[in-house]
Amino acid sequence: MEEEKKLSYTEQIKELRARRGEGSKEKQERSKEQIKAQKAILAVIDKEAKTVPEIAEATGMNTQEVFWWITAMRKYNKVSDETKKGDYIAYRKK
Amino acid sequence: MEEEKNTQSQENESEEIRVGVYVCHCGGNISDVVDTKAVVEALKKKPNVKIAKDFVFMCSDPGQKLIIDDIIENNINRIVVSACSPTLHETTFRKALTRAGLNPYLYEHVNIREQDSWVHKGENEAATAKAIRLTAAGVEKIARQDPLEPIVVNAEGHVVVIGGGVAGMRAALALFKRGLGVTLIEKGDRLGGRALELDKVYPTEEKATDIVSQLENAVRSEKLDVRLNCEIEMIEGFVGNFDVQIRDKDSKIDKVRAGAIVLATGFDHYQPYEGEFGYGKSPVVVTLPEFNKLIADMPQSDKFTYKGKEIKNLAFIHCVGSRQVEGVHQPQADGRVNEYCSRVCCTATLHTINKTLDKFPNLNIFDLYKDIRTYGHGHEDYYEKASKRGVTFFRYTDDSIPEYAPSPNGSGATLTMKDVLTWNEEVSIPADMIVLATGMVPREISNLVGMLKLPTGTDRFLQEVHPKLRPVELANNGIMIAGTCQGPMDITESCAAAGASAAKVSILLSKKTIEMDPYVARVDEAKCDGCKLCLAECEYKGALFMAENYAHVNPALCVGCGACVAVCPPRAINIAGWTLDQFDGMIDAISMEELEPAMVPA
Amino acid sequence: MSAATIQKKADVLVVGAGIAGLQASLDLADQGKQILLVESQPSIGGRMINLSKVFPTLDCASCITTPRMASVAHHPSIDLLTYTEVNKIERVNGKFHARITKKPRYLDETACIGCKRCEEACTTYLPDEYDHSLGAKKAISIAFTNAIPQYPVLDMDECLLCGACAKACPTQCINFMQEPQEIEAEAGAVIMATGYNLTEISAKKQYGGDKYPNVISPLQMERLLAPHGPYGGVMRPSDGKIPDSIAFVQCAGSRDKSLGVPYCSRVCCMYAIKQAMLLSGSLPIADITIYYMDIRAFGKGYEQFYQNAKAMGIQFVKAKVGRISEDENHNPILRVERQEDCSQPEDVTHDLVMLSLGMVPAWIPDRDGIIPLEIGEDRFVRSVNEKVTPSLTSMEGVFAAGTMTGPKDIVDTIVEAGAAATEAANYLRRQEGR
Repeated sequence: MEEEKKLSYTEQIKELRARRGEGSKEKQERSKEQIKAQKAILAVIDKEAKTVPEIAEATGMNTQEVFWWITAMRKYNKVSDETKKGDYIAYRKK
Repeated sequence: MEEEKNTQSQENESEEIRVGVYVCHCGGNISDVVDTKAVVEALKKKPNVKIAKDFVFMCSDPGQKLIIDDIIENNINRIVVSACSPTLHETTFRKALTRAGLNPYLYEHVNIREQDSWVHKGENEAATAKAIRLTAAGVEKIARQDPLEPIVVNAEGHVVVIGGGVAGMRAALALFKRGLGVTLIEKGDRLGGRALELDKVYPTEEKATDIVSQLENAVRSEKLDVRLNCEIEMIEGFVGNFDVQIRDKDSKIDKVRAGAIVLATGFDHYQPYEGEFGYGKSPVVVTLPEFNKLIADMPQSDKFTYKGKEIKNLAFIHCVGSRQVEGVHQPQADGRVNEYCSRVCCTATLHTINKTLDKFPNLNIFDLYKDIRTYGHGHEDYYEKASKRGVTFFRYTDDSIPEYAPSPNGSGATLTMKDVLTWNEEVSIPADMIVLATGMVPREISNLVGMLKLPTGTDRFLQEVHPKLRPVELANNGIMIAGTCQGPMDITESCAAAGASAAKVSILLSKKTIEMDPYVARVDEAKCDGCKLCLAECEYKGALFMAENYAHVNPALCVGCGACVAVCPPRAINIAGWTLDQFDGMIDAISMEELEPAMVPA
Repeated sequence: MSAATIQKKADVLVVGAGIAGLQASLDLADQGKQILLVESQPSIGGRMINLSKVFPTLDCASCITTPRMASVAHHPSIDLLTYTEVNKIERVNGKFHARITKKPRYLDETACIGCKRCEEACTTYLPDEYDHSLGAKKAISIAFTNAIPQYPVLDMDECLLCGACAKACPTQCINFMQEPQEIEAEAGAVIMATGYNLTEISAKKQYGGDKYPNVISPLQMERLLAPHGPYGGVMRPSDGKIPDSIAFVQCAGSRDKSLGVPYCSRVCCMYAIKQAMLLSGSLPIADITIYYMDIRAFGKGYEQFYQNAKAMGIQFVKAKVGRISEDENHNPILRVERQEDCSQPEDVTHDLVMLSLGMVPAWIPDRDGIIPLEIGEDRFVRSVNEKVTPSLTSMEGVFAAGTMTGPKDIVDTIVEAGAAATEAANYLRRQEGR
């Protein structure tokens, strides 16, 4: 315990990444994918509010995946609800 | 702790009034309708308000921490939370004040949910304006509030349990084992109650009499104070100090002092009216309890004979006296129908059907039901077994309740109904005998209900404070309920309720004293002119009396109803925490002129 | 590497801090007993804190649960351990010895102030188990808004090891190399309150609950209806459409021998009715249908609740649902065999379907170890005196509360927890020979 405390978080990360080896890369890949998906969605709703099917069509992603990202970005304040369009809510970048 | 409180209250007297206002979103319950930010902004402009905030769940730990931090760091000394009903969370926040070292009665809980957001959905602006007025009234009230101390009374370490059925015995034993004195009062000449009527019980197939003996032996060996053939003559007093007068069969009165009372007064069987499915008119129509008694001692046989005739076709009808619908069923004596489900009759009926087939395997059995509610542990097995043994099920609805017609030869009857199971086909069911699965009604205890002003529900059963927050307590402080006096239950459920009641009594009496809210009448002796008008209004014996020419209050007996306040010409009586001055302030705030432009939400 | 084992002592060890464990702990602590309450999840509150509103009073679940959560957290006689597993409980000379492991949250709880900056900084998104995967959380996150305690948990398996959280933390409390903390506890009695799981949504193959995005579980429906739910309203998972037509399929996990769940789960009728009522409140023009065999509204005030739902226009259809499929827009199609008229089975399309799944025990002694209590045929822990003392288990001094002994609703659970507390208190008194 004493010994660990001395390690700064950057040192901890370094050691844990070394232990993880190849596994690290996989996670970094996934992270890149996640950032890409968010960017693609945000680009579509930057200027104009859009519904999930509209975003899916514009990005080529499937609706379920788009909706999950909208949910995620809503929770973390990147996206807000705008008007209701038919049976759907239109979302917009915050 | 006591000392700490006192210094705190003294400090407050010289301090300026610094009110903190907290508006709860209730996770959308409030904030979807009320603009909580607008409420906060409006309240910030009010005199005495030093801090106003809103938060998603004020009752959560982070919410409470907001208050505690403001008390400690910003010297806030009066708290208003605008949220749900005070029945839910007033104590929650009072405790938070105590943790922060503030007198817990310097707290006002304003209800902007049940009294605002829930009833004004879609009228968001008006609801917001209302929330502002209500909260402002809360601020005015608490600004005029002095620190109060709870009323402390001694608690008698003795409990009176009323009703010697399974639940009553179960509660009495648990309390006695907990180290409390117990008096168990039973109207009848033996312990056991309704369980004594039963043969074997589902799902364990134990003999009910064994369950009763098990409990009774424990009661006897523990030397509990058991009073058979006794009834309650009178109960006076208050939590911690009830005086219970017990009348025995020779009309001799004995007095017992008790800190708490457990009501385990049980149920009665629903009694069908004359002619209900032929009941009372035909000898072959009986209730389920009557039928159980009838077959209990019959030996196994190829033939089932009743009143000298062989019964080949036996029909059971569910939901007699339960799940009644207004306009369809005949109302009860009080003009109401029994809307409730009696919970136990489905399984009890199927249990009896299986038992009947054990004895008389050649019987044809018909089961007429609305929904089969075999919900509990092992219950479904009886349903399945009955189906496998060839019982024919018919399902009726309220639009087609089985019609009873006696056979021309008088030996049996026909039941006619539309059967949902065969696509609403009209069926005529020949029955040599009919058993009515009658439900439960509360035991006749109107004397107790009247004497103690006990709350009952529309179903006439005793009504707990809240089914989840305080499921075995009545609004009457110190009175708990156990078993079927609260609603239909089976033995397992009654015993669990008895155990829960015992826990609540143990908590109440675990200390030698009990703290009660100080919201009782106070007399300003300088103002009182001794006119005695108040005495005539007080319904609570001993709560208000005259001495030295002015009115006095016994705080333990006063319930703070305010009847005395209303008739006092010189305004000499006030309810602590609800003074006339506070009401004046609240009314002024609620009826304030047009809201300032800044307060009106955009 | 890890710190020395911590020793703890209590009158009663309570395992599980759902509503049953919370109530039992409070009922004992208020009588002056010292309680060690152990919860495996990051927050106390169990399943109940996850619900929208509760029948038959329609109080919001948070409003009923949070006061108890706060009381437990602040009670001077309750020692609370969250995100902590009980590994083994043994009875030695009339006392119980428990081996317990506090799992690493990867932060120093004494320094954390619950500010959520770590969560804001984290870039890895994961399905949020609190929202039953409908919503998202971060790899380091506080379980939910009103969680107790307000400490996040870092999911080390999913962590990118980017250090953003540690950089954002104002108190430097993140410790990526934190080890589990072993604890040994001694207690005079034990209350087990380990709760329930729902039957698997994939169990009934013909319903395709795991394949079709718009066929959801009851707990997912609870989240859709809850304030601060994942979508901010009732929408369906496949595309965010606000549904016009919602169906409930009853007994989709109970009263079914093929699933190994022949018993009735007691609560599904009522939660479906409640959800239907809440839906009709938030979506006034939607068609809401409940396909059922028997409506079992047997508790106090439940029948009246059912009748109210009928009066509100919710459709109750006596029917069996043979199978479920979906069309190209993920609209679930139900094969409905109606009971009330003799028409042929027909296909009915809805926007969203909830399967009323049943209850199974969350902890099963012969599967999961910890303490060898006897179970019944239904695999729930068996009471040895069911009629008179339902909380009595096969081991002296160990009592059961709530859904671990069988399906039951919240009201029955709370009452039973009180009864278990009484039994434990009286057992302790007997042991002490007073």
